Amino acid sequence: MEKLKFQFQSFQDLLFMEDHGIYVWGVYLAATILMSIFYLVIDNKLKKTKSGE
Amino acid sequence: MRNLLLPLVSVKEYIALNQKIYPFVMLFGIFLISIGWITGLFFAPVDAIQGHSYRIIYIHVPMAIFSQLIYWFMAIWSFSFLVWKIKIGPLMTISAAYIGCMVTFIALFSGSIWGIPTWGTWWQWDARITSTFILFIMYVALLTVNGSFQNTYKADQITAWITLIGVINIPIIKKSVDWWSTLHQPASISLASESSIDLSMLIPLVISILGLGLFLFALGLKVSRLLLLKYEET
Repeated sequence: MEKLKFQFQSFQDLLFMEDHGIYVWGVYLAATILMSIFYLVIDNKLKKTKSGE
Repeated sequence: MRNLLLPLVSVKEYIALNQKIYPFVMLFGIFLISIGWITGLFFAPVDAIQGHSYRIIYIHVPMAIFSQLIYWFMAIWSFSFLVWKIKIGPLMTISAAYIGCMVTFIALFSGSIWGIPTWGTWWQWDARITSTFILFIMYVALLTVNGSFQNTYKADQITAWITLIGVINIPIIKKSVDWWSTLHQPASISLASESSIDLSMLIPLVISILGLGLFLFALGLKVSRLLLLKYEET
């Protein structure tokens, strides 16, 4: 097993990930936004149903 | 045994139990997802062939696994509803279908983005991608059919039948990379044999899978509570 260590030298390195950053960050951002929207919609509907609207 | 079954029988007790366990499951799920993603994004080593783009694995693989597991879950509840008339069956099926639809969409979307730097294309009609796309269509169709009947019992019965017919697709998705020559690579992790990826990449992946499982379970609790309250209203 390879040792786990921080893989980037600078913030720019982390952001661009050797030109793969746009794909990696794009997927993580989109998945987080989608799951958050799903959660918020359900939460909002539950609150409305509970209050009898 | 009666104590175990009681929450499934009494609506009030189900909601009480649901509300009690929900915050713990949700928080622990988010905690594990954060650990898995942070370790995978920042600390796991770079892949020798794919470079950093492989880090999408920590979203894509857990989503793909749960897109299929959720369908099995729905099939079991649909079967129990059709055979033993278990009343909570349709509620569980529809609650899971909402989550399955979202999860399958993220699996397809993340796979497409991953395909751009890896394969040079975001979409290919190969066996794995096509069968997963069919799964997504199944989820959308189930939700549409269930919502298009005024008679809820009839809607639940038809939804259960469609769910059971659609289950044929799940082993096809799983085996598609073995049965046909596809652009999609074969499974990197397996319960039966040794995984083909290094432990330093595997550990964050397993943590991400566990975390997402708990998070989706918590979401399922919330959706089922909402649907139960709506059923009670009508």
